[in-house]
Amino acid sequence: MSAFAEDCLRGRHILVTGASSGIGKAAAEQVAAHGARVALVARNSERLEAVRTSLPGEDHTIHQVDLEGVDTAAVAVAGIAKANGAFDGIFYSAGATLVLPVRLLKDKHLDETFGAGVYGAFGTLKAAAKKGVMNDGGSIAVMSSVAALRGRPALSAYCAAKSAVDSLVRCAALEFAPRRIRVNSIRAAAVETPLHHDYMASIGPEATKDYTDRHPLGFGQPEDVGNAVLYLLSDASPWISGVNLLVDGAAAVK
Amino acid sequence: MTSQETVSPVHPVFRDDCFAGRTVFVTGASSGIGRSAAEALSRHGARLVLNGRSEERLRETLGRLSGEGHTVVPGELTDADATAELVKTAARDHGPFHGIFHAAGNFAVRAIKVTRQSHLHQTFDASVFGAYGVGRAAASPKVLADGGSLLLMSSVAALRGNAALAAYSGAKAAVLGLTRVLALELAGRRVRVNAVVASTITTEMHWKTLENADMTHVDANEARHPLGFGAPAQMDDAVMFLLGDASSWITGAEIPVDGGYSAG
Repeated sequence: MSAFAEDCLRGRHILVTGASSGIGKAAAEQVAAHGARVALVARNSERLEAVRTSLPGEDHTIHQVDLEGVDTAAVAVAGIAKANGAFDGIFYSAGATLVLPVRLLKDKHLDETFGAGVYGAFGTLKAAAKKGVMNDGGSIAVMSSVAALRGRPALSAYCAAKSAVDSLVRCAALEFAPRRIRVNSIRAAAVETPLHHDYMASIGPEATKDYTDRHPLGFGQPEDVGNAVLYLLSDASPWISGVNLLVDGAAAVK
Repeated sequence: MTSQETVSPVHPVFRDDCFAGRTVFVTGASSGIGRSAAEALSRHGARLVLNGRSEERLRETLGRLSGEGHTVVPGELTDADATAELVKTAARDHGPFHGIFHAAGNFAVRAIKVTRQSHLHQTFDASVFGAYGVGRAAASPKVLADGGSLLLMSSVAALRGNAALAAYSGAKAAVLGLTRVLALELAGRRVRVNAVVASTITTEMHWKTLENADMTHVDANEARHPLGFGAPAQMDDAVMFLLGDASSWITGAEIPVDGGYSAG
């Protein structure tokens, strides 16, 4: 049973990006289960519609949006707010992983990783700073990773993207504080999403053991991140802003 | 206020029974953050075992708790061994615990040129040696049950330098080091260990330190908090989150609850 009261987000309008699968989908389900009206954003409208119909509650909306650029993301997010009402909360979880050594990195790889992962987050926060997009006292949580703190071979683009997001969050927290809008990130380690299972299937037994050993409390569940999202988007954390919250089962400690 | 609407009215965030059937041990429960957190936990169904130096003040806290079955275990936390014994005895009589919040600790402002060993003891005894003792006791399932949560108090002073806070900064930084190692050592029992990195909370201790303070310094400090100073209630929810099931994959973390202080 959830530790959170079932109506703790009643009356709140929350934007969730990357909502068609994995962590974003689980978070959308959790905020909806706690009373929020959710604006679901992803690239694939069919999968979004499936998520929408599965959510508890009414009036959730879906928006097929490409978040690859700062300006396009800002325009899209502002447009959703204009059509459906200002947001009280945003969970930004769009982004892609890339495994590639530095020596092979090209512009297109960085564009892919930084597109939705970084530029889309900048665009979403840019929109949030505008009048009528975010209500005063609202809260924004951006998905980050322990990769922002610890290096891994062949993960430089992903690690750098997550570091960028963590820095963005700290600066935006300062800029938005006069309106009491809070901005935080969640630094997760490996969470058992479909993507994670694909990754595990692609590596050998030795790498599997090494990866597992790096997680003292085991891999996380999407709900673990969802609980942190509830904490950060609800009234439980009104004095927490500019924080990169570790939700990682002590992975960063090792 | 701008022309924009603010978010809709506040609803209680945590289920009112989210600590039902749980026993939580709180140090520093005779005042401030410890007392406030104990009250909040009791309102959500927890049974509290309260530790503090003054039995009289602990009983005041006891009188403010909701629900039944709470108890007090007075005692000073001066070193690791005595603290471990105190916590083990409390657990034998009233435990095992499902959560421990080690809120005891002293704040002191003192320039390094006049900081003596005795002052270091005042600052390190409860905050650091007490935390080691609590941690040692918590390593036993008879004290902190499997899957339980231990929460220690650190401070933004562990992350940023401030003149005349050498002892306090060192003590709070030590807590962060301890937190990481305890998280690894206790992960096998799924016991979680985290530290709250707090900044200025307007407790009685805060008002007391203001009595002789230079107000321009206090104002400058408040200006460094983008969301202003905090109130004890804002710490309560962090304590409930980190001791409760919603954070069951969070361990070894230092969690700023600081009004944006450490973001800038």
